[in-house]
Amino acid sequence: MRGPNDIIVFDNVSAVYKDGVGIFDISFNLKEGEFVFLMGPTGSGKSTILRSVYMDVSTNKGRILYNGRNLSNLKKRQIPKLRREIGMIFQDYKLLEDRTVYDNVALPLQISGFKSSMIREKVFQMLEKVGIEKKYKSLPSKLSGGERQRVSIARALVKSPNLILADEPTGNLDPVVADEIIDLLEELSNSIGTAILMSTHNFPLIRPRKKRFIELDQGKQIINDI
Amino acid sequence: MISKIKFIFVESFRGFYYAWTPALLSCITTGISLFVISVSFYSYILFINYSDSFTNNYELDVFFEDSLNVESAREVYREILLHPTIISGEFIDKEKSSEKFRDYFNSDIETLLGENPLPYSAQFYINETSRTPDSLLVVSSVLSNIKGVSSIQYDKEVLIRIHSILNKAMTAFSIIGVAIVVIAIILVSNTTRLMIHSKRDSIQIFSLLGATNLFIRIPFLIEGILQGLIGSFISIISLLILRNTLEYIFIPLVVINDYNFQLIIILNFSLGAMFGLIGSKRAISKYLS
Repeated sequence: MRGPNDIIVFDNVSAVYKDGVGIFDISFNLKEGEFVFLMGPTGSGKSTILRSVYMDVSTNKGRILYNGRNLSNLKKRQIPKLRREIGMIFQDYKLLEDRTVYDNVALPLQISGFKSSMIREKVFQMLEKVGIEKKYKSLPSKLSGGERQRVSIARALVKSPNLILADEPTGNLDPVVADEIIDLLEELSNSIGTAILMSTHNFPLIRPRKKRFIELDQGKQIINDI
Repeated sequence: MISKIKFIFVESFRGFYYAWTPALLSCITTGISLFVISVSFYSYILFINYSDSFTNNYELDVFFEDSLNVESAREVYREILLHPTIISGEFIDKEKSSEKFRDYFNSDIETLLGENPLPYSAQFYINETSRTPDSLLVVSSVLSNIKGVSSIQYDKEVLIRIHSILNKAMTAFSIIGVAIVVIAIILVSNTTRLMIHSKRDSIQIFSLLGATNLFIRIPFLIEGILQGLIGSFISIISLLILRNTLEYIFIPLVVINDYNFQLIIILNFSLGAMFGLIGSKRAISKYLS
C-alpha cells in the first residue's frame, strides 16, 4: 500500500462523530512534494481528513501513516511534536490578533526553541517569499484577507515542513486573491519541495490547475484522480 | 532552551499589556478578597488577645488546715508550687488575710471577733494548657489530696460559662475564616477564568502549532502569581490606610502593633501568590485537553 515516497497514507480510515457524520473508508496517499486537493461541498469530510492527520480528531477504523509512522499508535503527549513537524493553514487564518506579522510568523520557531538570531533570519526570508516583508510590524487587523493568508502561509512554511495541510485557505477570499494564494502555494511547494494537502469546495478554482484531487461527498470518497 | 524560557516570561507579562482590563479586574478581586481575609484575621488576633485576658485570671485559692503553723503551711505551699500545672503562687498568712478582709468588708476581723480565725491560704496561677474547666477540676482534685490542704476554691461556674462562650466564638471564627478563604479562591479563580477565556483563541493556536500543555500553561501560572502579588499589594495599601485611620481616630483604644502587621503583610503575599496560582491553574485546565 505504502510507496517509498509517500508522506501520508490513508488506509480505509473512518472517523465518525457522535452525530453519525464524519469520514468513511477513506484511502489515498500523498507523495513528497505533491500538491493534492480535497474537493467537496461543506460537510463532506474535508476538514475531518485534515484534522485526523494532526490528531485533532481520533479515527475509529483504518490507519493513517505519516512518514511511515502509524498515527493511531501515537501517544497523546507525542501530538505536539507531530504538529510541530506539519505546517497548517486555516480558512480563518488563526493569527494572534495581539501580535505583529513578525511575531505570528516567528511563533512556531519560538515554540520549538530556536535562537533569536535564527528566528529573525528565517522569518524575514519567509516574509520575503510570500511578499509581505514590508508589513512585518503590522497587526493582523490592519491587513487585507489576502495579506492575512500570506502571513498564515509564511507561518506554516517557516520551519520548512515536508507537509502542509491547508483547510479552505481561499474560503474567505475573492476569486482573484484566491487564485494568487494557490499560485503562491504551488510556487512554494515546487521551490521548497513541500507536499500540500489542500481542501476546497471551489471546483472552478482548481479545475485549470491539472492537479490530483480527491472528491468527497457525505464523508465518502468519490474520486481519487486527475 | 534559553530563548524558550525568555519567550515564556515575555508571554507571562504580555497579558498585563494586551488584556489589561481582565488582568486589572483579577488583581482588584484578589486585593478585595485579601483585604477581607486580613481584617478577619486581625479581628481573630484581637479576639485571641481579648480571650487571653479572661483566661489569664484562672486561679485557684487553696486553704490550709487550721492545725498547721506558718512553717508547715509554707511547706505545703512549696509542695503545691512543684505541681506541673502551677506556674506561680502567692502565700497568704494571717496578716495578709486580715488585710484582704478589711479591704473587702471595710472592717477589722480582730475587732469584730476578738481574734483572727482566718486560715493560712495561697493563690496559685495555672499554666496556659490547663486553663480549662475540666483541667481545673482535675488539678483541684489532685491538690486537695495533698496533706495539709483543707479546701480549694475557684470560680467554677463563671469559668465554665466563659470557656463555653470562647469555644463557640472560636468555632464561629474558624468556620467564617474557612468560608472566606474558599469564597476568595472561587472568586479569584472565576475572575482569572474570565481573563483566560478571553485568550482561548490564542491557546487553541498555540496548541495547533505544536506547543505542549506545559509550554502553554506556565505563562498563565506566572501571570496568575503576578496578579496575586499585585492584589496583595493593593490589599496591603488599603490595610495601611485603614490602620492609620483607625489609630488616628481611636488611639489609644486601637493600637495595631508592628509585629502583627508584618504577619499580615506576609499572609497577604503568601495568600495572594497562592490564590493566583490556584485560580489560573483551575482556569487554564478547562482549555487544555
